[in-house]
Amino acid sequence: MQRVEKMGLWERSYLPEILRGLIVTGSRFWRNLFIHTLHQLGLAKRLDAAMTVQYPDERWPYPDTYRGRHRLTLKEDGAVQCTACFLCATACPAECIYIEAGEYPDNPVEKYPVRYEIDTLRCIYCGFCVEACPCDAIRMDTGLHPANWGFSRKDFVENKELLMDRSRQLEAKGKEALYEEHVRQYQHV
Amino acid sequence: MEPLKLTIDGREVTTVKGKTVIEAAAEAGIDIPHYCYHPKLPIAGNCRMCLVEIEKMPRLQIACNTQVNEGMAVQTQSPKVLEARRAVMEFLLVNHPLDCPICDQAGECRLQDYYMAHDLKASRFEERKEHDYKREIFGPHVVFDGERCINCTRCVRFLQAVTRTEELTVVDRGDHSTIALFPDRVLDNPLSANVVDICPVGALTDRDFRFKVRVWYLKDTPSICPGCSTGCNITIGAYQNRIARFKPRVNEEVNSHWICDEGRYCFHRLTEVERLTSPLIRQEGGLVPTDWETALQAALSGLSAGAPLAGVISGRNTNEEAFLFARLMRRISSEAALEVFYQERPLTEVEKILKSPDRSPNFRGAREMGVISNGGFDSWLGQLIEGKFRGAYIVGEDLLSALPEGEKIKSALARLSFLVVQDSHLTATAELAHVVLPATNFAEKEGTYTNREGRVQKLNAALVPPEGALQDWEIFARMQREAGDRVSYSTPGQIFQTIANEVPRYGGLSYLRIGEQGAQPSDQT
Repeated sequence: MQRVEKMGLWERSYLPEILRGLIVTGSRFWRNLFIHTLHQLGLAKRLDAAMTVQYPDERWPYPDTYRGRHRLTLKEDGAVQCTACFLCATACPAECIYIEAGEYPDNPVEKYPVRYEIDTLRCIYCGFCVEACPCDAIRMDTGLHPANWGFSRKDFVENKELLMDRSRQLEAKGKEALYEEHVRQYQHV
Repeated sequence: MEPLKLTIDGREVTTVKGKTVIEAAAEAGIDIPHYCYHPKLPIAGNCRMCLVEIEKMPRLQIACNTQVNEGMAVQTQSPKVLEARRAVMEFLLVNHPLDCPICDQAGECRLQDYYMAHDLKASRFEERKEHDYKREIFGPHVVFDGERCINCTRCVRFLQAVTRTEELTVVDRGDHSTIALFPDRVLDNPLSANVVDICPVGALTDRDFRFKVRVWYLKDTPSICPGCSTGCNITIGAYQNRIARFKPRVNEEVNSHWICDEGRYCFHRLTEVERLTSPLIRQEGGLVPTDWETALQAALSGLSAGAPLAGVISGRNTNEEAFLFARLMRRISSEAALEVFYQERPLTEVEKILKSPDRSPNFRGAREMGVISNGGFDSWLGQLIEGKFRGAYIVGEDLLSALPEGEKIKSALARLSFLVVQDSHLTATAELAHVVLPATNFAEKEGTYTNREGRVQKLNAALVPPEGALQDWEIFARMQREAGDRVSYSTPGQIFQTIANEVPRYGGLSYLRIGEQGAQPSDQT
């Protein structure tokens, strides 16, 4: 097998190939700049510039199956649906879910999570936890992106309160508004 | 014992007259599914799970209550048998709740296992499930869930045949049938938590272990119970470097299938303490942390100048540790009075089934390793209180709290010119010491215990010791090296080899020969 491509005299003379590359990138750059400027002025809307989405000002719609940030679903009385069965933690390939189980003194469900934490630095957003859950207690349907900034590792650990609160917010605001709020936070960083 | 032959699943099996089919199959390594059968309990034959097909018998027979006969041909996997078992499973699951997510038995549940092996179809039962007691407290260690119960009566038979305390019985008929306490009774006998182990489903669960951890996360280590010198075989289930539970491990020579409640929960008191993570040395005003080098040197020079010398080792220290301890102490002072902690207490009739009157699982082994003086522990303690010693080395035992003579011991220890205490945590005794050496507990050690009967059994390390603590044998070996001896042990196994060479009763033994079931060396010394 020949691993290194043999270069001819033309390639080896270096400059002509460099110039050819600069012409390709340069022409794309000027073309995009020109068309984007026209778009800004409201002209030539039918002409496509580069395919780049100007996130977060504009964005593509996500499919319903998009695996966003987790939330813990709630029962009708507002209590956490989770019974701390550990199946999500067992299924998790990244071992990022930490649960501590406790016992309700007077509730037929008996068991609940005293602590439920997801270390989103370890999480790979594979969705196995959602599939493993027998109680539909964890979902990833918030449509929110994983957190990507913070000042310490602790900032990336999502605890039970936060995960439950996300369910309440989703219920109250709806997916779109929640996303908008989320994006606005980014813009202010 | 008349030998006879039969075939099970086409395999020829040799057994003896009087055995049942399920026993003969188990001997041949064929597992016949069952719930109510237990090798150590009377036969009830009520679960119908062990049905097998026997040639020339018109109907399927239960393997647990059918005696073997010459020339019998048994089928345990024929289509007829599988169909019958599937039907039995379906009946058992009719009223069984879908509690698996909150049931502690999940993962080691016979219902789950046999469902996966036999049924694997959705329930056809459309009617309302029969509801029953949930979370009924039976006793200090046991909680009952009536919906999960399959009425195999193993618990009832255990309390009739083994403890003879008979707290439980079956009440009501049909699908209202359930297990219940007799009026005004509590399931609080000293072996009560064994019913949790024998319950094939999640009806009886352990209140101490309840919801702590799912069983599939447990790291199981075969070991020996540190509760008393009976030396019950156990499996230590550990999670995140903490012990979650003890389970009995079958050993017909020692504990059969059982362990007592005191032994089962003794790990709380022994391991759940604030650990020492560095040696401490007494300076003006109190104990201050120091490094191992300094601490060992101080301990050695203090003890060397401390004759007449006393040494006591805990009954939870292994043979290997006791052996090195005896060597070290005799090296420092050939007159050193060595003893192993030993205290007896009265036992009730039920306790006597398993328990020994002491709390020193390895007192016999320690004595055989040379940790022995004239007159025994009580006379040694008397001498200590009288002030016969000037220096002392106390290993692994909190004499002040463990003994009724606490105050007298305290003043005796305070009068000593030098005291070294080696323990896993800062005990009341350790607070009086001149040097404190952080050591390990029973669950962090590898080594051997010799039980009351003289059986040598192996401990395995289930936990990782905290940083800063050293294994007891390592401390003794380092101190011996400090004293100028050549010591080159790097594992407890090497120490045991020396023991096998030097202590006559242990001749010919090795970790390999001890294995998981222990070894009983001959008593000729």
